[in-house]
Amino acid sequence: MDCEAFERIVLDRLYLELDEQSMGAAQRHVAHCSRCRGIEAGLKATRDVCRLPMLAASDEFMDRVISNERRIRAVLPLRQRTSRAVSLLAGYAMRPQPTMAALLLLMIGASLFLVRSRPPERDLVQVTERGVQEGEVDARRLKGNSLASASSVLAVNNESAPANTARTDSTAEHCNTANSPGCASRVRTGESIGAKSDADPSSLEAEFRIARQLRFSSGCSAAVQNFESIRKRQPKSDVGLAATWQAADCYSKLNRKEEARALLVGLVDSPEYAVRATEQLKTLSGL
Amino acid sequence: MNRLAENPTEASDEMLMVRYQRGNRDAFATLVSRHSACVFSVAFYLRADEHAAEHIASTTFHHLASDAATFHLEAQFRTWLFGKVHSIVRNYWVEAQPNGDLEIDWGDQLIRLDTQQAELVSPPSSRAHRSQILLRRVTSRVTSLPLEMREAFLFKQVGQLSIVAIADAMSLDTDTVRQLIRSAFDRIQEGVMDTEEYARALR
Repeated sequence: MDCEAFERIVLDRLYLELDEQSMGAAQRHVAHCSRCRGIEAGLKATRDVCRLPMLAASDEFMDRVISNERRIRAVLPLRQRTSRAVSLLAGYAMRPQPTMAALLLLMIGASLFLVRSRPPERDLVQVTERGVQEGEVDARRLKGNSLASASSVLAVNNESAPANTARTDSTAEHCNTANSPGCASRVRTGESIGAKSDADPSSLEAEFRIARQLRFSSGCSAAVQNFESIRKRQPKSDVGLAATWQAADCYSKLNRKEEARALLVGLVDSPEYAVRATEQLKTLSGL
Repeated sequence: MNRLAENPTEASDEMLMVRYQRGNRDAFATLVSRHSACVFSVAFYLRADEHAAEHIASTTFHHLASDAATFHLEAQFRTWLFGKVHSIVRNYWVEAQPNGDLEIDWGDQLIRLDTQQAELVSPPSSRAHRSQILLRRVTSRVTSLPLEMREAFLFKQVGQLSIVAIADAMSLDTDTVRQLIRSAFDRIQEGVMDTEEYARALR
């Protein structure tokens, strides 16, 4: 630092308004420059001598200022009063307490909408395991474990269906009304499915689906008896015709052409299967 | 922080001003009691007239109340306040001439200051007498300074504002403020360098 630079910052140094680095540089300059040291000493002495005492205003001064302020506030324009009120409200709003209270209210409100209480026990929905869905469940079970035995069970049940009808109907009715724990297992077994009335279309549809599942999983040889069973019980119904078609298809796949042909001839009269059956018959005939 | 918020006497000037903007009159009273002496002293040494000084000080606080809405929390309150002093002094200066007669309580000495007649009320060769001579010399030097120079000097020496704050208050750049204060120091130094107090301060 040179003398010119020192003179520029000497007042800042006098009133301790310099940063540490500049203060150090000035200090080093003063240490070896007697001229600047003299200037600084003169300024310091003048500053100390010129300490002017603080004066107090008269006693009425404060009262006068406060009364002036009241007068000003009394005649504040509406706009300024409004902005002051807004400022006051904003001041309260910016405090943490209202913010926390607002957050708490928001959380409570959100929980009322989003977090629903569990229904009481008496409102529990009771589901009877019966019908189409039951068949699908059985099909999955059978697929995984003993498909062959299941098919045999079904076959046996189907053959003895008329004999069991009365008993299984009463079981099904009982299960529908009582919903006892044992019912589900009983309905789930081949016994209950096979025991369904022939007049019950949903039961036949279930059997048909199981038979198709068997066909896809184990092949025609395992499923063809089931299709035959359904066909024999209701040959003219939609399910029966579908079972006839499936059985015929299986017989043709198993190279039992005569049986297949016999079934297809029966389907020629059906408007839904006439075209397909005719084509299949032609194929079997080798045309 | 909470203590500052609860106790108005310990809150910063800026916080008090914000509270006053929100309608807290106690905050205004605290600000006036905190700064009235400083504003009044600067005004007195500027004009060397008690009535003029009271007028300047009361007008300053009047403006503080009426312009409170224009104050921003980011601003320095003292800079804003002395900016008002500056504009009032500029407007008031044309109307009146310096005229002062005031008793000053300087330490344990009561000094009667009359800048026009230079009347000495203390006995000669006493400490009070010497102080009175020195104060009279200083005040006469100060009142003889050009207005802008006097203002810058008093804002620094009495108002205790930083050089940057003075520049803000007077709407000048900092180098100009430094030059003004330095010139004021040089002129006052000429008037007091033969006094015993100055020689003692040099040592």
